[in-house]
Amino acid sequence: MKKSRIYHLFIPGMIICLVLFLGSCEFDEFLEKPAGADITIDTLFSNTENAQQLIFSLYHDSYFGANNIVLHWWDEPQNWGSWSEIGEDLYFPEFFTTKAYVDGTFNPTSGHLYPINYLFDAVRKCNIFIERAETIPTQSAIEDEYIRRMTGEAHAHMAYQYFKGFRLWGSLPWINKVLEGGEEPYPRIAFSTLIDSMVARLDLAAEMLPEQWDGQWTGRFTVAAAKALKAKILVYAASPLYNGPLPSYASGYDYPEVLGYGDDDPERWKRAADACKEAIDAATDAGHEIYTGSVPKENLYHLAINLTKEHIIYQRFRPSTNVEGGWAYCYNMMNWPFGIGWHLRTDVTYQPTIQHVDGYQMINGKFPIEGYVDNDGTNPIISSAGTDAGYDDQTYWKDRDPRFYNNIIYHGSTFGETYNTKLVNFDSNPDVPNRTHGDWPAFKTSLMVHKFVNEALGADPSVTYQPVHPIIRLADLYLLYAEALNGYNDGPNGEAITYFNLIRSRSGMPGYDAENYRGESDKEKFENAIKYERKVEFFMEGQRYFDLRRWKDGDELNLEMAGLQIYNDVVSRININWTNVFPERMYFHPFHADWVNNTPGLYQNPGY
Amino acid sequence: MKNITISCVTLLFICSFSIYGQAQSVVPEKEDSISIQEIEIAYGAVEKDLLVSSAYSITGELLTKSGSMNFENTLFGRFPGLFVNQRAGHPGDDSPTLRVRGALNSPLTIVDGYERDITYLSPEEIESITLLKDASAVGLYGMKAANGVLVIITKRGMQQKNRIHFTVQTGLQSPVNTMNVLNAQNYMTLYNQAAVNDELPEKYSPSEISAAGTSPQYPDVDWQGEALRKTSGLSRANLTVNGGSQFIRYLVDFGFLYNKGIYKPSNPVLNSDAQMNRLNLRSNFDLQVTKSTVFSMDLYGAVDDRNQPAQYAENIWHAMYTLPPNAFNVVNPDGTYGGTSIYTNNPVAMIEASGNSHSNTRFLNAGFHLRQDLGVILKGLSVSIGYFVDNSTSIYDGKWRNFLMRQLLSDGTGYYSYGENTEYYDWSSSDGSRFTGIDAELVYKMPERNGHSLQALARFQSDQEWRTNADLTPYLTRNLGARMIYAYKKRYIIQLASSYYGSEQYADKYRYGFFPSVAGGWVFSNEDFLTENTTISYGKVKASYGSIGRNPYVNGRYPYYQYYVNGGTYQVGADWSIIYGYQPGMLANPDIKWETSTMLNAGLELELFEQLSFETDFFIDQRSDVLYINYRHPSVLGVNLPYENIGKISNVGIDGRLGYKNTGDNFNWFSDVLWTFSKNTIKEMGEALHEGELSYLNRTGNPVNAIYGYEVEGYFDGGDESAPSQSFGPTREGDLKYTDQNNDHIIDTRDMTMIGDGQPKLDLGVRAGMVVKGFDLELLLQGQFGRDQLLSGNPLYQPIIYGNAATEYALREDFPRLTLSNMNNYQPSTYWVQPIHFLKLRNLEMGYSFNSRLIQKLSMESFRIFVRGINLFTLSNWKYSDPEFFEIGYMPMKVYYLGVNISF
Repeated sequence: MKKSRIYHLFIPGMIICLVLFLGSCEFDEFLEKPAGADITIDTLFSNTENAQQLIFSLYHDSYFGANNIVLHWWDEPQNWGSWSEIGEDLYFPEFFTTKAYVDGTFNPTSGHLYPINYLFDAVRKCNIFIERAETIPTQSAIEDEYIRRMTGEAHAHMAYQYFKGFRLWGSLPWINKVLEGGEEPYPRIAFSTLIDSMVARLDLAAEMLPEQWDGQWTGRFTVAAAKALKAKILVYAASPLYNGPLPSYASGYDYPEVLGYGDDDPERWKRAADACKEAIDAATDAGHEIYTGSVPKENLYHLAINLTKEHIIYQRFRPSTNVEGGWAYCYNMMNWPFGIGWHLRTDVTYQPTIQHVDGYQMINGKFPIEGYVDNDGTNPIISSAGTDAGYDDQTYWKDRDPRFYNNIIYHGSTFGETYNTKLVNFDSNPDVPNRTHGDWPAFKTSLMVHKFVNEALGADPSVTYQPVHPIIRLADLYLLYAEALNGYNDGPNGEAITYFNLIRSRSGMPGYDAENYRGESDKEKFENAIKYERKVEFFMEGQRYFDLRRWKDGDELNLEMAGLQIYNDVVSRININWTNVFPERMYFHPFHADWVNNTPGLYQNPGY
Repeated sequence: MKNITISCVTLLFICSFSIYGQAQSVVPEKEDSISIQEIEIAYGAVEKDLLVSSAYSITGELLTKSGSMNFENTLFGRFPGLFVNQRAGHPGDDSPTLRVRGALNSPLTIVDGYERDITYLSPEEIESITLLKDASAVGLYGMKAANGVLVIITKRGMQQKNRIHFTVQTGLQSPVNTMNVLNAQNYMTLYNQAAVNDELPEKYSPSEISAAGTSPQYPDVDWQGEALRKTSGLSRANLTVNGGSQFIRYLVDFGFLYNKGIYKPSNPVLNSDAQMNRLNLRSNFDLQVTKSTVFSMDLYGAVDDRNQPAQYAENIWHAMYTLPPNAFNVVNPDGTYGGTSIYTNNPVAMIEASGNSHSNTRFLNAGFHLRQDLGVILKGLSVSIGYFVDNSTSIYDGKWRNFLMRQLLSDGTGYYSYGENTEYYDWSSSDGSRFTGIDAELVYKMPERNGHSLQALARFQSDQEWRTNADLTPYLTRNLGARMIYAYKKRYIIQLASSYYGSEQYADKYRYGFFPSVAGGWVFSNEDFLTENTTISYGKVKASYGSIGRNPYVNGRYPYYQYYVNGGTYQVGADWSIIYGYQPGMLANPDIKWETSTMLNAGLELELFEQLSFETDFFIDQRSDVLYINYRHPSVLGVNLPYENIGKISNVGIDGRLGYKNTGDNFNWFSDVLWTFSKNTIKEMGEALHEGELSYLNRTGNPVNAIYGYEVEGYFDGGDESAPSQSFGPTREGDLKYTDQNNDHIIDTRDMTMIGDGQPKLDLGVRAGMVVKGFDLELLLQGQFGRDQLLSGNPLYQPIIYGNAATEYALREDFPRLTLSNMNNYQPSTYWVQPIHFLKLRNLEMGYSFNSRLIQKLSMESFRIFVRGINLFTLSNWKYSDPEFFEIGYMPMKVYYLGVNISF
């Protein structure tokens, strides 16, 4: 019995020793996160060098991109489609994500709604920077000035995000601080408040930003860029969709104030015109000018493939060659006549419709096509001016506005002249020699996009290309200014026509002649002239869809598409069996049901 | 909390000694000499009677009958509670999915006490393999065990004369099922039909169709026939030497395997075939340092060498299946590879001209144990300490190049060319991993006294894992566990187990979790009134309840900590220089912790006439704190949302086994049936819930693997203008018509509802065998029932859309209108949901052991030859392909082996 008593003490004693031993291993410290070179918000704001990286991230495609062309298709917002393919009268055979946008089936549970989180991700970054900028330790006045400039950039980016957002949805929650979750709901603010808030940010930014950045920093927001964005926002705000009564389909909507002003006030055009003038002056002071570096009939093409002084706000893509796997080429090379140059690929991304082609003026400024019998694109009504000018469907490409040649590749056009002797040949008869038709079944319109397609790339896979896409260029400001003046003065004054003609003459087109345009009044005629100009000038720049919506011209987006077929060199019009549908409710896109369900105050738009 | 839990563990252990004290004071010592079947459980083995948790154990011997190239592929139909699905067949890359009782992730695998990969094991080196299923069985594994645990013990040396076992087997393999795809005439006819259905002109003229296959201008290529051999070879050999003396015991196992791929074309300048070979060596040494001290040293080394074409297998098989037979010639009359602008994936060229990709992985696993018997202090007490270090290093290299393809002009006079022949580009990379840990263990097995018996175990383990070169800090865990099993007269058993488990990835307050469990059982066959009963030779009821954890690394490392991460690049300045952004990373979740499973298990074990045995377990697994992204945060937050512990999933089921064993003098036979049934439901998952009319869109309340799509009402018949418009393309006669769930007269994503469940309901294993004199036969059938498979999106069942397709499927009577591009009919819908049931003959083995007198003259102990088949046939309601394998990729194989076992 004595022995067992010892055991009784010994065993638990040993256990306790073991436990004490294990306890002394300092359990928690063993599992503690090791100190490392982690980047936290404090390291980010410990000096300007680090802090600028938060601003840099705002320029990344995910946030800064205009989403006008699908170039870097792995970067997400571009995955949600490109506004160019939606807005222009293009056939886009691989609809993927844009299908619901163009066929009218868009609904709040569609899988490919343009994601709102990118907008608020960027806004969060802007807010972080603005809140923390003053805590960055500085060594010199130059650094203080740099921080001030970057704060200006943060304000400008914030306005840019809301600009991209309100064009889609109308007003949004205005998030002006860094949210941690658990805050009171932020409801959508009134449309007028949103416009004023964006303008206030841009005014602030214009005070802080430099007129020009040093050479190594060009491409970042400048005074002219902030003013240009403000001008554009104010022209949008003055446009009929917002500057007028609520659209009839939205009557009875509980939150009309988020969709627009609700009344019509010409003073808004005045405000827009003033802002445009201010922006044009700032841009001119900063050295921006209309590009005229080539011959007039090729100016627009060269503008599209080069960075010029006309670019005020623009998105750059990684310069690369095809040899190094430059994906920026991808879409370029998918708008390429088969068999010209080294690249052999038959699929065709963007296919302009014949209706788009019909829209171009003749070189003399007349419209050759008046309309269609029963809205049937294969059955055009040729205007007397068209007949006089010798228009014929077989030679539809003859004597057109030079921008037609800059924008479109067609049967019989030249392409890659420095290394190619063939003409573009889209003949569908496989026995015709020297065809550049790849026989891809989904190439339906026999028309391709030329703009942004750098012909030099076909010469050699090692050619480097630096793609750049304008977000706002000076020509845009000129036309916005002319439009605003026309809106305010109930007709074009001399200044409006002057700026308008500067754009036309750059491409070798005659000046404004009211006779060429439809309309009951001088104002309406000039409006139509502006609409034509914007359509052909900004083709593929992701503007058309938003222009049509702000003008309440959504009807134009209802289109039974037609194309061309060439057989033994004979051109005929064909129906390509695709119809774009634009329901009125699409003037304001839906929010995804998940966002609405999660976010009190994010009221769904009417009609969904 | 931490201290309290440590105290709990301590108390649990101390408590076991109090019982010991009581027992000792009453009971005189008595040795129990009867040898009893023991079952391996976590860190130890228990007598069958004492097993009250849910665990099922088999011997490695049994698995040698499945002799597969991948150890995991020997596990089909072997364990009640384990779903095994073969989802791949590539040599060396053919692991099946393992799911315990319908869990959503793979089980933890433990080899000789430490967490290790089991793919590389050979059945011949395995002593036993045990599946631990309920909370009390896995209780010692804390945060890693909620998906069940497979515990593997390798063979060890015994004190005996040298024994040598040698097995060699060699065989042939061929795909389980070949896909039957359309020939050129069928393809062209269907293409024309689709074009006409789309109101387009026919593409192929009758003369072109009838000319298919007659000349290079009209090819009709059997792509699988061109790219695949009918059979290919594979071999395995294994040598085990086992023996020992009083002082040293050893087991050395040497293995070799070779698996050649099925590709037919071969690259003339470098090896581009799919193949694998492996050499492995295990040596387990036990050194009797003193009478009471054993030092064990276990070493395992392997060299695993794999090769494959530079192109991914998925792409090669995709090309074989979907390239139209008339697309182009394999090789043109001028000797170049065929190809067109649309189809640049000539599978023959992809295999023989694209280069290769090669990997060489070396493993060295070492485990050291020192066990001290403390019988001099207290009989039955022992302690041990251990250390292990597992290393692996992989070197990857390869060569790739582009190749020229040409398309014959339709008039046969010339070619279009695509691509060009380039030189080979070389690439190489490497990575490695290291896993180390220490453990200490205290074991007490009280000799049975007066009916009381007690086993107690306390252990501590600390692991560090460097997963790849990229992870700068190791993954760390710490585990303090204890278990006590008390039995009275082997009738009433109680088991307590607990683990206090810590993981580095949680904030301080959640770093350690405590996972207790309790189990109890009653062996009624040991009651006095039944001991003499010959009908019920064994009987037990048991139940367990407890909680266990799972710590997936869903948010990356240290998710409680707010990081800033790379924010992309942009080009600025006159020279387009790149600037690098930084931005907030995923929102920190300071409250993240492990997922918790609360499991209830109740079971019955019964054996009648010592021949018929039956066991079954009913289980409920309530998983809470499941990590889901919480989409209920407002979308204006502007940050990537982290996973949060917001989900709840419940899983219920039954598994069990019914066995019969007949032992006679000359004729022995046995049969085993195993089953597992389970069903899960999401109770909560943080989705943005729809309310009211659209609530059918919610996924909460459905099974985890639910399939969503449209309900098919029928076909458009041309006369129904009033039907809701379908938003996938213009509809015509013969198109599928979907149900308008929300009655808004438009069929779109808001009409999607649950149309199936991808989780199998029932997994069945049937094993039977017999031995007559020297002749033995064994077969294993495995089946799965009630799994729904969604076929939409699978190119094989969508003729013309992706190219070629499965013949019999495309020609089905009820196939919707064929079309060139209209996706209306190819939306996920009930038409494309196929319930799958199958029963496969996983293996069949016949052997003959030669007359002992004859072989004794050759100083052999035994000599046996055998033939073995694996995956020999499949019975299924799905006849178009392997009912288990719907992916497009390297197919699982059926194998025929011929082999010998020799023992000296």
